[in-house]
Amino acid sequence: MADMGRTRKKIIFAWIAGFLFLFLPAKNVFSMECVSSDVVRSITPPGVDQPSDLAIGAKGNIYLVDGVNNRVVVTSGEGALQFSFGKGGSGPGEFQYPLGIDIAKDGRVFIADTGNHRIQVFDAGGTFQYLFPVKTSDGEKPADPVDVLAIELKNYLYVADNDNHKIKVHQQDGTFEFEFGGFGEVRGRFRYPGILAVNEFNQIFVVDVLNTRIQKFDPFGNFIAEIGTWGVTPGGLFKPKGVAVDNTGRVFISDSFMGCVQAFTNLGGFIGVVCENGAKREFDTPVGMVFDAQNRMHVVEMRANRIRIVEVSE
Amino acid sequence: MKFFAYRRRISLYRIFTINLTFYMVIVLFWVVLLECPAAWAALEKSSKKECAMCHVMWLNVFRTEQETLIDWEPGNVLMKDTQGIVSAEEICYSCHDGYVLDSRHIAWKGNNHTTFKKLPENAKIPEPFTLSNTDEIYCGTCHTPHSEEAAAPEGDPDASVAGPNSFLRVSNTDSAMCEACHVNAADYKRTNGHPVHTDKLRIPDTLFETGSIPAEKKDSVICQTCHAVHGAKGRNLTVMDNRGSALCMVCHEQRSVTGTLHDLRLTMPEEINIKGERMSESGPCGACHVPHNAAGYKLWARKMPPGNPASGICLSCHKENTAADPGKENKAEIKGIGQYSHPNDVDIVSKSVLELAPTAITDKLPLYAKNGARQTEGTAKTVQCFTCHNMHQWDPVSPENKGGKDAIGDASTSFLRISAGLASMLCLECHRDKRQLLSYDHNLAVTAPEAENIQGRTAAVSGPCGACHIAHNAADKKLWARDPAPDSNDPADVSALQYCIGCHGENKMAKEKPVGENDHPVNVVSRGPQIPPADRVASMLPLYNEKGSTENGDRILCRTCHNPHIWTVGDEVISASGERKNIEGDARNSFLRKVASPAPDLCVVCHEDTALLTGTDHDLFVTAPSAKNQQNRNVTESGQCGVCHAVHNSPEKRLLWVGPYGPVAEDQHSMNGLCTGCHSKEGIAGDKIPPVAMHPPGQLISNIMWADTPFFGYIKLFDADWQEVNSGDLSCSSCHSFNQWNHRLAEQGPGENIEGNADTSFLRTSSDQAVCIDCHGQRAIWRYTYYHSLEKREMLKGLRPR
Repeated sequence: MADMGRTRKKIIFAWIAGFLFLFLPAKNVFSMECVSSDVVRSITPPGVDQPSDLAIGAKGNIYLVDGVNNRVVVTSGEGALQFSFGKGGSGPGEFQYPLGIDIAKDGRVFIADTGNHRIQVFDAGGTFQYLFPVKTSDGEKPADPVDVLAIELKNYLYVADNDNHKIKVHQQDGTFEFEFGGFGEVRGRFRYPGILAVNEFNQIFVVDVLNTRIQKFDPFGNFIAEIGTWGVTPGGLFKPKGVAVDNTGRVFISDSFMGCVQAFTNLGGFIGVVCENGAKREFDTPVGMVFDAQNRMHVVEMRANRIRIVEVSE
Repeated sequence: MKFFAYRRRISLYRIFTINLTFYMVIVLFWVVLLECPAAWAALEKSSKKECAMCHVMWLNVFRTEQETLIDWEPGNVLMKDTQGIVSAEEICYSCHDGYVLDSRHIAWKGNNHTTFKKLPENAKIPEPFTLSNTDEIYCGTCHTPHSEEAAAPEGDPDASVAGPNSFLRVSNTDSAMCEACHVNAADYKRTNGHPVHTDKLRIPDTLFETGSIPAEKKDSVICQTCHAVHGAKGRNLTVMDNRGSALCMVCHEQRSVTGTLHDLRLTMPEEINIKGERMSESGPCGACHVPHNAAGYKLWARKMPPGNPASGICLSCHKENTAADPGKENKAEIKGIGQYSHPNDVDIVSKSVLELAPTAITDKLPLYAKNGARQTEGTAKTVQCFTCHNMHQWDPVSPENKGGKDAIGDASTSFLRISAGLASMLCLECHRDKRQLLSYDHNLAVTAPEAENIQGRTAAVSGPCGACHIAHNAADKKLWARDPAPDSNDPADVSALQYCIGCHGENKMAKEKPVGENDHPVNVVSRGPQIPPADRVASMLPLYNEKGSTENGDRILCRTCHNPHIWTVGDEVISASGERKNIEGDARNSFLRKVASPAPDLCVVCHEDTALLTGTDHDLFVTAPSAKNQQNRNVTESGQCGVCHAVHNSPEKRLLWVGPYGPVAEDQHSMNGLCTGCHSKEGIAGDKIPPVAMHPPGQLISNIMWADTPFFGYIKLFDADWQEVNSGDLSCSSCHSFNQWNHRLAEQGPGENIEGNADTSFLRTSSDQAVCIDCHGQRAIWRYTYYHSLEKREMLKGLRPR
């Protein structure tokens, strides 16, 4: 009888322990996989409204797309305002809510002039050089270029055509080369492709926003891998927006809703969340990202109207 | 023992810890479930990815011990009568940030529709719209992704946020959704709100570039033509900042008052409109018009007087202080219209005040209904301030000339629809019958360019009409623009006469055409035995009362015979250049209301009997068309009457005689000279000379008896002033009238020079009946023959009557 009583108590204990284990998980008990970081500085250019993307020029100047104001704001690496260019409109040098930017090795500044369905090219001083429309085919919507990526290989210029769910590859002079993608959830297809990045192997990273992943392609549009999965746990992506590759090959992905940046290996393995004191470092709607020559991560915080420059541990 | 003691300690320890744990677990279990009710929801909910893209808090992972990158926030339950977690704004932004759809410049920039506020007490939200669980407007009031109407068109994953879907609860095509709630703010009729669903004006594409939403019929005005629910750039959710009325002027560009005196931001910045907005807030348009809850038909932004007359908006500033309204401050330091101003709010159709078809003036000068509606048809057409003035354009010729805040207007500017300067075309658009004025002497821009009216303006500035009349702040009811009594210090001496003699006098502007002492009498009552009743005259020529008005008028004034605006009746020649400067007038023109030559139409209105002269020997058109009077005018120039009588500047005061005055014997009546001027050897009627002397003077002849006998002609007697008397000497005019050839027949002459006899020859009556017989009885014929024929005198000497 005594054994039976003890057994009953053990069962009850086990039942209760199970509930305890189920309902009272102390989140802080388990340590998050982190990539530690330190903020170098924050830059808040005056008048900027919901900036989206940035690039770093040869002289270390930061080119920030202030699309709602139809301009590009240029600051020094330390944040001193240098100049801005562009205004609303559809003429040369005028923008309609641009989103993306990239700077070629030769210093040319490529702007995804989203609302005007075209790419505009400027010199480093913001002087208009030329423009060309993003190629669209019959049956497609007007092009919706949200980002550009200029690589040295074959002078390719990758354009994320958000509304047509494709990556459209042009020569940097505007000549259309080829396209890949299309609407869908399978590998190689997109639901709203966004920001682009490239690594040292000329592998192209495409943020696939509503498929909540980053897809990696070779320079000719052949699928290689996908990085990240749907979710709100570490390693998961909810609203991925930005992607950047540091000089060690790590792939950093910003998530605008979750307010975080996470690091992955080139093959898609989760490394960790960019952290601050062992916990997720909070970013305010992080979108476009880029690493500078010192391997410092520059993150555009869209609703905070600022750039956060962060040193991440290796 | 040690072993058993150890086991007992272990057992006690286990019993203690197990019991403690048991109770703690039970307590904590209930704490978790009872204190966190939302956890039940998480327990119940499970979701697929597509739902969780928005309803992130429904994710199963929050029900596990797994670490998440965001915290579980079970609150934010907004929608009434529902359970669960409605997504937050951040969820919307996570797609609408440009990387699925770009709504940053729409929903997250500028002003947005009020949210999280309770409705006004008198407002209701119709079905299917809903309020939050706290009865406030929230995003879900208008938006839901779950209604059929909200769904994007099939196959289109990118329903535009600006389009008809936009996850709205119902279609907002043509702003139908806006109107469902905002029924009280504006009834969408023109009485107090900007018209909607009308495509009277073309909506420029530039407006759509600012965020304006086109209606299905592109140029149709809808709420979203002017308002943006999200991302509005102006107050009141206007698609543009309208503090400078920029939004209004996108469509109403031609009505820009910016920079003019009507831009009250410049001239009356402290003024407030009906909504209590200062001019800096309302913009130049908002000073007078508001698009909603306005005071009247034209969307007035100022309180209107009773009856809501259309011109009330103007007079609210430009009204003079009146005794009836002493407390009202005249805002027009600003120009008041003065005591005497052009008639306003007058139905010109019913009053027929113009000598033209009223429809003829609507081409350039619109007429209005009483409420301010522009009238192109119908009968209720009134003159309002807007008839002559375009309040939105300072200079009718050059819209770019804004004038500025210190502008001083004249007849070429002053917000007039047509320039009233130089050619006074504004005035003459309605008063077309007065267009001849431009070509003749009364165009002072030509004949007296230096002369100034009471506003100190020359005719070149005021316009030809403005030289004598001004529409506002005039000197009297006739809108007189000149000193009404230049020769009088008595301010009450405002005689209508002065209109003319103010200029036509010695040392005055029109000194070349003075009116002198020997003129036709004026300012006298039109009556007398030979003058028709006043009402009969007034039916043909205007007579005036003592105040200068034609109402019950019985006085002759200058304007009885003269129309100062029309040089020649029936002459359509109009020249703005004044080519006919100072031409010499005659009886055919000279601003006469009726011509006096060749027919004496003017004179016979009053002097009816003179009409009988036509065609007789005394009609010089018949007998001496080239003969000239003392003013060196022939009958064509002077007219039949003017041959002998000059209405103005006659050399002879008596009878205004201007005909030749002939020899008169010293003992004869001076009036005989009127006849001998022609009936003498050198005269044009030298063949009609009574060869023998006249009747001897001093015979105390009386004609009283005859004067009481209307059936017969009677001899007239005249005194030395040629006025009729009843006792005096005979003169030619005693027996002869000047106009009626045959006293038996009141008819005009035959038009040829015929020989007379005892019944004709202008005799007042047959010579054998009255002229002589009255005194001389049967001897009359003998005496007449004896004294009038030398040839027969000798023969008659032996036949001397008894």
